[in-house]
Amino acid sequence: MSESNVIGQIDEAIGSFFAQWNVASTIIVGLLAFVLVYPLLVSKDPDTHPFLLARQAQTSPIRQQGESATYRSTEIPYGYPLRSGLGIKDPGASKWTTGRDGDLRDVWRQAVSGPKKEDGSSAGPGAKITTIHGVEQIIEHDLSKLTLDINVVGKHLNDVGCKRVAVCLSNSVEILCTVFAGAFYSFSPILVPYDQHTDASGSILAVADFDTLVAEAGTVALESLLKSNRSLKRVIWVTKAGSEHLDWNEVPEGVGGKVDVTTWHDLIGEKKAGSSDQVPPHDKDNGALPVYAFWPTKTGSYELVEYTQKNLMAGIAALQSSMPRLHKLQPTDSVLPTTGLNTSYALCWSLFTIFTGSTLLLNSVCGPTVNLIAVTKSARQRLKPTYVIADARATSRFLDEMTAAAGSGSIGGKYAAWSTGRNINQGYMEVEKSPSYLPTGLSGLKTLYIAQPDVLEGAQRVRSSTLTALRLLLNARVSLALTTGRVAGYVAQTNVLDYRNKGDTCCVGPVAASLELHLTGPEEEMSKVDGIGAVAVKGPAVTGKEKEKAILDHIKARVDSDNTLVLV
Amino acid sequence: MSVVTSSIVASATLDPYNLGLSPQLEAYRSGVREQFGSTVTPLNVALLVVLLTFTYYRLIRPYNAASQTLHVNKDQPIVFQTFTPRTLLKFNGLPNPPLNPDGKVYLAVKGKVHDVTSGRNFYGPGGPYENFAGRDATRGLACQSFDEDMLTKNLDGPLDDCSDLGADQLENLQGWVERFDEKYLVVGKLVAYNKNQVHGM
Repeated sequence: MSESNVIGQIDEAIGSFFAQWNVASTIIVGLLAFVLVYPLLVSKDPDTHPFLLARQAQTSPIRQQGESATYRSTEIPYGYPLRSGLGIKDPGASKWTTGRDGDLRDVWRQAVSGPKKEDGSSAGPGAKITTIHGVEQIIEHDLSKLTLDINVVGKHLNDVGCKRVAVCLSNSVEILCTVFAGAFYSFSPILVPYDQHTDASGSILAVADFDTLVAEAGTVALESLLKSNRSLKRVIWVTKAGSEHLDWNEVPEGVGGKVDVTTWHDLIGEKKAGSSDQVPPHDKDNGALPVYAFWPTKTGSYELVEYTQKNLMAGIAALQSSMPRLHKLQPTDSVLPTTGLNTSYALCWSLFTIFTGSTLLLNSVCGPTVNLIAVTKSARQRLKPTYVIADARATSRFLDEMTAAAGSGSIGGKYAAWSTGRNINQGYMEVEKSPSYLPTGLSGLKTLYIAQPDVLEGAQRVRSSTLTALRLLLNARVSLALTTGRVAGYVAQTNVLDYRNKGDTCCVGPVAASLELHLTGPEEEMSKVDGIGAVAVKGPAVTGKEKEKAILDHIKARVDSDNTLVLV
Repeated sequence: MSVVTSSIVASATLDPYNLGLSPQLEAYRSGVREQFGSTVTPLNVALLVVLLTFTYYRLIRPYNAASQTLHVNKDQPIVFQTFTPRTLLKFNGLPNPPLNPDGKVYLAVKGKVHDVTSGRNFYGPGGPYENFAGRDATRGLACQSFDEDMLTKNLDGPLDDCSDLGADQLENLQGWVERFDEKYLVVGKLVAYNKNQVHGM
């Protein structure tokens, strides 16, 4: 009896509690149902599956003593060759062949003709190259005119017996013309870093070995250069658009007849009658010569690196496979490298851009610490780049400036950041909508690629929390790449669709598809799950004499639980 | 009596705080109090609390996706080792600490040591090919025989170089080598015992 009393009492209590139901209760319950159902209706699928982020590289089941397991990109199963080229199919080849690796000449050929579908038919128009000088001066280049330049310069330098050309220019179309001319006409370009603030280029030119110099008019003192470099035979000045009328052919005293001085503009003008604007046909028998560049070392000096055609093509192939399937480079995209084209990462990106028929934007203001807002500013709306390549130092500077500015801290800015943050936590980003406080030049940005050279240490490295802050600020995807002189392209790059915040660690993502990576160190360290060791790489993108292998002693890293590389 | 009581009660509720307000104002105030009392019932308060909690957790509170990272169990990679016939013998499928605590089965084919633990039914103890476990199986595979006399007798001597095998036996061996390379992981190499060398194990 007491039992039914208790239950009866409970029943009564519940009944009387709910007897208070009225209109307000109904309204509140309606709101509750809305709050529960609404996120289900508007939520979107994450951009990538969490399983794919949990395991971003394959690991080998065995390891050698003193080494960790070998890590490879998930695209390439063990036993299959690493990505070493772009699969160039010659006309007339069956559509089922994988194609050959190709070299720079094939890159230019496809840039001019446009990308090809699998069966050889055209998939779009050719690439576009636009150079920006300052804010107002924007020049869109015609690729057949550029091919004429390449033919003229290449033939001229080949005729006079030039073997090595030093190119010391800020980002401009002349660098690309010289590099392609070297590929077609058998001489090696040496890309010298150009920094108008330091004299790094001067000290490099003094010790490098070359017989032709292509430099910006007025930036190099010829007499002092000739004293240190006896083999210099000719100089080609590249003049800015306004100063062509000046007489650059004047040689300083004492130089006399030893050096043949001319300008790019004059050279093209004189010799263009003898050359065509068609791309030379495919030459099966002769390979193209390597490209040389300089890479800064920790001590501040520069070392010469030789990039063979195979290295560069492997670097480009790694970039191609790093882009997600749904976000590949389209012909409507435009890429702006803000680091100098003498770095292999920016060079590989530029070559990849023109290979896929997209627009390449080149700004004469470039470098590792450039002001990103100024560089992307342009007078016309249609020059908004969709992809920007920047150095880690320039990116940190940009982030500091933007957070100090009022725009991102306003109510609208805070709401935009909060909304982006919620999307990121659910795993997707809508990069088409740009926050209003961003400068116009950055409002079309889809992805920002940050190149972090191996010489950066400590506070200069980009942390995972910084990447998240950049995503919230720009409402664009951000990817961090580790670059080094010994590898063409990059060593490791974060997954573009990985929006997770790993806090204060400097995570550079999984290894490139053109490389195999493992750590070396003492055996007891390597037997630990998160042992720290020096990075060692192998693959077609590795430069140097030692048969595609290199141990990068100065890069100490460990491998995270999702098989990505974390720098320590 | 009841009339008096009700009027006393009425006057008491109309002016509970003795504010001395006019009757119309008091009536208005009491109307408001009733309205409030009927809306803000304990049920509504409870429902409101539930609504606010759900709104916060569903719409407002950001959850950190990184804390929801999936953790995939990673097997520790096996260290590639150099085996001698005697050290390889420990890997015959029976647990043999400290070298082979899990009872793995290894066998050697043409100098390469394969981990055949997944084929334990064949190569492990009690299987038809159990003679091969922990031994150099090269000659036996070439000659398609599991006899004892196919195995190297002297574990401390040089390895069996199989130079006396015929062409078709060598071809057979090559087929077996390819099959083993495809199917089983190579975990080490087999070298002859050399008393002048210190072996890693």
